[in-house]
Amino acid sequence: MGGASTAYIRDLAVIYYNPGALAQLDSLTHVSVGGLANMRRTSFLGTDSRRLADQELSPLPGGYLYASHAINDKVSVGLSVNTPYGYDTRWPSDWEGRSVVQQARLNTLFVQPTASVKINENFSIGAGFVYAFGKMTQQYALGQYDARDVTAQFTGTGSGMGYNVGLYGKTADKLAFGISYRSPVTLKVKDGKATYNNVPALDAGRYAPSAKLRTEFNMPGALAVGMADNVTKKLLVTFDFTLSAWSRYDSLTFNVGDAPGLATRTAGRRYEDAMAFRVGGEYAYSDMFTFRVGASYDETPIRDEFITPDLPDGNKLGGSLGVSVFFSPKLSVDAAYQYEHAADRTSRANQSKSSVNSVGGTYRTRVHTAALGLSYSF
Amino acid sequence: MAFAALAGSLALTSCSPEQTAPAPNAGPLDFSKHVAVGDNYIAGYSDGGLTLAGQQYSLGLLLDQQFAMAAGSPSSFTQPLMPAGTGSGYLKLRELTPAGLLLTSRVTAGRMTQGSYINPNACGGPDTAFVYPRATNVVPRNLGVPFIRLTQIDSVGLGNAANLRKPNFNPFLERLLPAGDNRSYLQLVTDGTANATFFTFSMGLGDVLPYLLAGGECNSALPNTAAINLMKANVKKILDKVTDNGKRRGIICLAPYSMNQLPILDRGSITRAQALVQATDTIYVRGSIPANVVRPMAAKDDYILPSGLAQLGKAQTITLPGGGTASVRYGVDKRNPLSRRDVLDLNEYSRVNQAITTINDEIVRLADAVYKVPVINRSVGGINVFDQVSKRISVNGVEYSPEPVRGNFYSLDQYTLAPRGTAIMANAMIREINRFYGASIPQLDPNTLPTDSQR
Repeated sequence: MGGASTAYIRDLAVIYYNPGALAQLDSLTHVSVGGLANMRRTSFLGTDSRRLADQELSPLPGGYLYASHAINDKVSVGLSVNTPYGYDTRWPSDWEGRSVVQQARLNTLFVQPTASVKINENFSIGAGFVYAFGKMTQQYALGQYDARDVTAQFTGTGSGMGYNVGLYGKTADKLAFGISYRSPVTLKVKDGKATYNNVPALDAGRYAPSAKLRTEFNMPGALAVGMADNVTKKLLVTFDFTLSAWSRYDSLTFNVGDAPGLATRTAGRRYEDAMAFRVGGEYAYSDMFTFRVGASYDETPIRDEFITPDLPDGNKLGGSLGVSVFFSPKLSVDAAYQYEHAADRTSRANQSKSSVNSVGGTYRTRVHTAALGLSYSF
Repeated sequence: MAFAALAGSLALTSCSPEQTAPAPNAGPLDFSKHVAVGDNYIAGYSDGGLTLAGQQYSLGLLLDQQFAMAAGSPSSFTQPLMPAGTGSGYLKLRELTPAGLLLTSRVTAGRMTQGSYINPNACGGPDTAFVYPRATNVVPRNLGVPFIRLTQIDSVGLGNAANLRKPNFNPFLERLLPAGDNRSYLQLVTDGTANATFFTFSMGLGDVLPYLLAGGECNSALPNTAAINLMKANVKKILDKVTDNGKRRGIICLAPYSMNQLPILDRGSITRAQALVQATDTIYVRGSIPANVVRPMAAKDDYILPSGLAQLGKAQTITLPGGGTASVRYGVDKRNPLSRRDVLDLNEYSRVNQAITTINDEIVRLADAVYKVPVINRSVGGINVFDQVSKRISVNGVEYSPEPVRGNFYSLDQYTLAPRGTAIMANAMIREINRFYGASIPQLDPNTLPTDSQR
């Protein structure tokens, strides 16, 4: 439903989106598990060169495991394991921006044990502790050399912590609302590795074949409010608004070597806070089939002057379809598909700003996400 | 589920983010007979020589290849190609020291000479003048002649091998003319541009190079007031022909306004030279005004040339005035100062500077007021590539600077361009052509070209 989940409790993902809603689930134990594939494709057209480059197809796998259990009438506990952020950007290795980025990849895994308490019949609050784990790869060519196989590769894993709190309320059975706040999470890569391949002898001293790498990835804090309305017995509509505090993401800096500042590669980010709106509808067609449809609008946090090929984002308009097939009241298979259409972004490279690694051109991005999962209650 | 998967795969194909490149477009320009006129950059002189490898990356040719893309027809540009190999001889990298000193050696094995003459009175001391193999296509479209001077465009016989023994014989002009031809460069340009549809022009550098490279010890190329006045008068003469009195479109690339942005001077400034010797060392030069007086190197505008830098601080055996010999480090002792040939001192630099500033100003004035053609590397307004590169630039993630070898902009002679540097210059010219004439010519990707034409 376009991810409109802050006040929507029929999907266990609400543990992640609003821990406050957990206590409002019924007394059963619920488990929901699934996998998804995110396919972000971008094409590039060089402003000056008129050259085209298409990102290689590299689906980013993801998944989720949500579980909830009511301890008593008032208290429920839950666990959310999912992959909320990530990208896998692969450009052809000899494209125009090869010295900016050839491949950039980030996988994240968020583990969130959660507890929620009912204050009264209609209100509940909840909180979760977030442990985040991330894995990154960044590769670019050292294009100052003639040989095309001179590359730098940064790899590393990191972890970080955060929390998530939420409030859920409903009026009678018709209208529900939720509000949640997720803290920012910083993934600290302390023990990464920088590898330089095939550097000519003249500069071998400048690029040690292998060195330590430190960096940090900032995941934004987010404030979300949402509502869900049972318009009829069979039809439910939801609306969500999220404000993500990307603005703490100032730059992505890779520190290479043991001494601080020995060698750094900094990419200015200077993200802006970004809003997202999501609306969704769910229609219980029969005991067996429930259909969902959603629409979303995600503002990009990336300013015009900082569009880089590692993640050329744009304002995204998305549509989604979903279906749950209930083989019994307790077992369902859930499938969903989302398509997002990003507005074209044009980056203007200013060659006299030698510290900014950028390539001038227009990025056009389309994102496809498909998910398939299983839900069981007992 | 199956439906979702099907819908998904359909969407994958129908919603791919393909873009179409806009077709290149020459706008109002006709590139069918583009003629390039000028000196070293236009000719593709690189690494201190003219070789076939260097000519493959001449400014004239790189531009014409992009022009051809815009015109939608293959490039028919003709160049006075040297036979493959050593050409006129060239510099190769011997060492780049950890301190950043560039040391080169000259490759002369297999040099293609048709004749030579050791001229005892050559510019800056005895030198050998050569005659090189004649171009198979005389009067080609690339009329670039290394070291051609504005002061010489009217010199009859400048490119006639019969004048090999004369001080100002230009062997690179000789190659472009039929044997024994007495035509001056201006006459050659007049003939070569007769049916031209577009021009590129770059002159001025050739006028100051001989004097600069000789450390100011070249009286036959002294850029004095008379020479500067002649340059001013001659640049109008040649531009009248090149622009067909303002009726032909084209583009002009100026020589650097600040000659000390060229690494051949910049690498020999006092700051950089001091880094090559001990901090306690004082560098001594033999000045030009007052002549031959030994003085400490000036804080500004004394420039040690590569030949001097290579020897700076090295022990040399000198003969003492009172007889006997001593081992004294070169350039850091009053008794063994840098020789005048190894230094372009502040007075000499000021002459070079005045000449280049005057001629560039004159070209800008004529281009703006008379011919209405675009100019790059102006002192104010527009793109000045030399200026940008002196502060380091980043092209698609690759840094370019005047640094030897690693900077990838200048070739090993430190005043002409490496292939990638030529591409960056060509891109600036294309950008200006597109802006000025409303054309849509694609630019080059400099990062795909070799860092050195000999590699």
